[in-house]
Amino acid sequence: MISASKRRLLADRLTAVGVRATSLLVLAAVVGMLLQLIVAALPLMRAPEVELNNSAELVQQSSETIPNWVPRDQRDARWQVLGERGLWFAIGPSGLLSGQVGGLAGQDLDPIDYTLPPLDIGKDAALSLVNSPRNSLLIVQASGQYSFRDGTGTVSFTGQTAPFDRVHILPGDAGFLGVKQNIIEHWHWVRAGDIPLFRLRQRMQLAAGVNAVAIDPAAERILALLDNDTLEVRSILSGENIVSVSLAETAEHAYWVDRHQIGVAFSQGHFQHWKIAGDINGIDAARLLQPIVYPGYPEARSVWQPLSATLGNPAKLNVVPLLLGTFKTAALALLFAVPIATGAATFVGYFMTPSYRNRIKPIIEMIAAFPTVVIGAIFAVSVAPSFWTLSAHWLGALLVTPCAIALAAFVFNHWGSTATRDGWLSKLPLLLVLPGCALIALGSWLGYLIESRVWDGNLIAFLALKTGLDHQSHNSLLVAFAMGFAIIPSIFTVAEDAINSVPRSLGAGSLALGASQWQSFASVVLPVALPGIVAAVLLGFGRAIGETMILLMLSGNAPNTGLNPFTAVRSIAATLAIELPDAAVASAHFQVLILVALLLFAVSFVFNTIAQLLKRRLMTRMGQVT
Amino acid sequence: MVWLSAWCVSFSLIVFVTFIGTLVYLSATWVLEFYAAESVVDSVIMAFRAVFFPDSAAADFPPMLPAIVGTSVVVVLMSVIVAPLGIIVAVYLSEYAGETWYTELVRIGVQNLAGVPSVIFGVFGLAFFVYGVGGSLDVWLYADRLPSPTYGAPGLLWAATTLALLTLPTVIVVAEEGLYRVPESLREGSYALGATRAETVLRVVIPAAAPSFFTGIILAVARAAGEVAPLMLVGVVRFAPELPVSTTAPFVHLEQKFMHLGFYIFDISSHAVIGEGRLGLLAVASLLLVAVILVLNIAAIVLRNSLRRRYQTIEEL
Repeated sequence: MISASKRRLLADRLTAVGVRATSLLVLAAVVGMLLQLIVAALPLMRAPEVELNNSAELVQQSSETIPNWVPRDQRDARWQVLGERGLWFAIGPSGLLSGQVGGLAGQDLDPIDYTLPPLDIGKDAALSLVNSPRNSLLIVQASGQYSFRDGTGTVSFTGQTAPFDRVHILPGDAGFLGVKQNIIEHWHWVRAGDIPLFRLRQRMQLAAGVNAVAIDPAAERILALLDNDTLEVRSILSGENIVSVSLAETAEHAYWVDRHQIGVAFSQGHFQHWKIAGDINGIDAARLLQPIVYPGYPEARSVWQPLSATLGNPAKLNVVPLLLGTFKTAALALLFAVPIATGAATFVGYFMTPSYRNRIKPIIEMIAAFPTVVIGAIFAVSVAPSFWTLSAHWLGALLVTPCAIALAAFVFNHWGSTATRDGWLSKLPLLLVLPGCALIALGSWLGYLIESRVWDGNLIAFLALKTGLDHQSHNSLLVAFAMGFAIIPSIFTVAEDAINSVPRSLGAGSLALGASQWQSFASVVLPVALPGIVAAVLLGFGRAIGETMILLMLSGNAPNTGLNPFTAVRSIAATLAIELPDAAVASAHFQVLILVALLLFAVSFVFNTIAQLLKRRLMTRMGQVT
Repeated sequence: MVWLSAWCVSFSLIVFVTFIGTLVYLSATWVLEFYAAESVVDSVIMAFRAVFFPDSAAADFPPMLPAIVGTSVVVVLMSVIVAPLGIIVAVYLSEYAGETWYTELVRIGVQNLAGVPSVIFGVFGLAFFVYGVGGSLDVWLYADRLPSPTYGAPGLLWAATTLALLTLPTVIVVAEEGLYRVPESLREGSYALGATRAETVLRVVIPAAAPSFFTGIILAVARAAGEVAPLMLVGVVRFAPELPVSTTAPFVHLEQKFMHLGFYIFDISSHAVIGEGRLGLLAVASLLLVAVILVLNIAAIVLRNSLRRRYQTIEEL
């Protein structure tokens, strides 16, 4: 039997090992989770921090021969299917020989079935059905002449672009690709009223003459078969080369088997399938950050619209609206919260006696635990619907109250008694509550009064007319108010700790030398506590950029760009909450969302670290001062 | 200027009281609509039923009771996960690890993790737990049910683990603070009497710091009850047809989606129109959530103060 002392020693060792192992495991798991996320997200996409790097390769999968292969020049008829609509047509030397448009009834679609009349449009023309105008044909000839026609062949619109060797029309309403020697141009049409105008969107210059072009099933990439026996895969949206491979012999035709597989047909019916491994989404910094001319848009814009992607209409993954929305709301919220929180912190930390401080401080710190969902809900049902109609009331209350209080202070300090000042100074916030409420009511009534006299009862209409700014009921100003209330306690806690930790002797010395209360605070105590206050503001900012629920309920969730505070915004956190559950794993959308989440994490991590370093600096400063 | 800073304090208090007052007022007016002059018991029963089992004919919003049950279940599950792990890490940092630069780094890291936006934890939970661990679990244990996911989809288990990750820093920080406050004299006395380190830690230090462990867990629960954003990504739905706990084995269904009170509030506020009775339901739900969180926080503060008083007397000896 093991002796008691040996048992105890064994228990000691086991406990030590157990505790160490468990905690290291937990810490390693947390770090590992973060690393796994980074590792999983970054190689899948060409992240902006990494150099543009060809991470996709072509891996040969199979090679067979099909019998009865009909060589290319003997094939005349062409057909294409677009969703529920089918367009079958045969093109001869002079143009359209026969064509049939057919389709079943579907959502928003009527059943159609009509035959196209023969049209003289040339052998190298391309036809397609377009979505708008409904059931129209788009015919683009190699000479660059385009026409929109209805089912009987009557021309609705026509025009001329540049001449090409061959033309491929993209599905959806994304326009067409014109191939000329080694240049591929993407032309799309922009609506000016009812009239579609074709414009050049993108020009790709390839290394050698282009023999054949194939558009992938998702209409996001093209496959180009070049003169020098190379295959290139390029992104339609950015025109950048994704991957290219040299072929062993001259190929006749290249086509997409599916999104990740390419087929290459050589003469005599011998063909190969190639599989694309690695990242094919072609996301890079340019696509994420720079304004792009999206198909159908007249000019380059930064648009976040990943979910309305249809065939030919690529997911618009520009994150600039999200970044702008996040930082705009956070900055406005800070603008509102920092003065109030630091004001409260100075009063509680410096001017209050310890007995009152120990009572008021926990109350304000408990506000920090107030769930932001509830703050958002209260604002959404009460404030948001009447935000603009009551704007004069808010303004009145906001402006009148501090002025009235400052006036009261001035009056009191000149004509009031200062005998028992220290006794009631700590009670001042409580004494101000009821007069404060009365002043708020008075201010909003005054605001209403002035509005009805000067601006005919509608301040907002007047301002909208004068400034021409757009305004909506859910906007970043409303979010700033709500979020400001939510982050006031966070800023208050840290700032109050900083101000309170300044030694009393400093303030006492300043008072002894004849300075007033506020002078002692502002000139002596505040500069010493400044690192702590800056840390508090940074922590508040870190909280504000990550706030989700208030933004979901109050921001209008429209990804707008621009600095107008009166329109809706969309923040990173809200986008993650809305879109991440529905994003297909490993799609471009998912990868961009993970990248944006990592960015948010990194930014808040950096801000928190800076805040902590500042706090530590404050502590050492206190050590030096005493 | 002094008065203006005093006004900032009053303003914060006014706003806080206004929020709670609005909720109380709206809930009270809504519940009092059910007040029948005949019998107080009847009206209380009607109000109770209206709050927790609203009339399905008038409702196109779900009942509140499953949301309350769901919140409680996920919070209990989370505590079961986070309490032992957080306490062990705190004990390690306080008792077993030396005061080296990497221990300081761990402490800084833990405090930073406390400040990370909660939705990021939801992203971690979704990418790592749901798609990563859950996908693997599905392949190992539930391959016959694929491609329909069992654990590879958001559910109760992953929500609990995500919340545990979210509140781990809170528990660690509070527990460490409690361990720090245990006077060194207690430990020294134990060692002087010949106890090993394990015995000192397990029988002297941990029981002495136990109230702060409870404080940490209470604060973790309070924070988890109020966080909605991460749960939106890992398993909360607008309406769950079944409760996550039931009388059929295995009694706690870890792969099911569940309802949460915070999400319930969010959902109703997206559809609420003033004057249709939904507002009252919204107010009652919000008041319930706020009341639970505030009570938990007050309990934590009371515990903390009693702990401080306890050790002040010990140190004065």
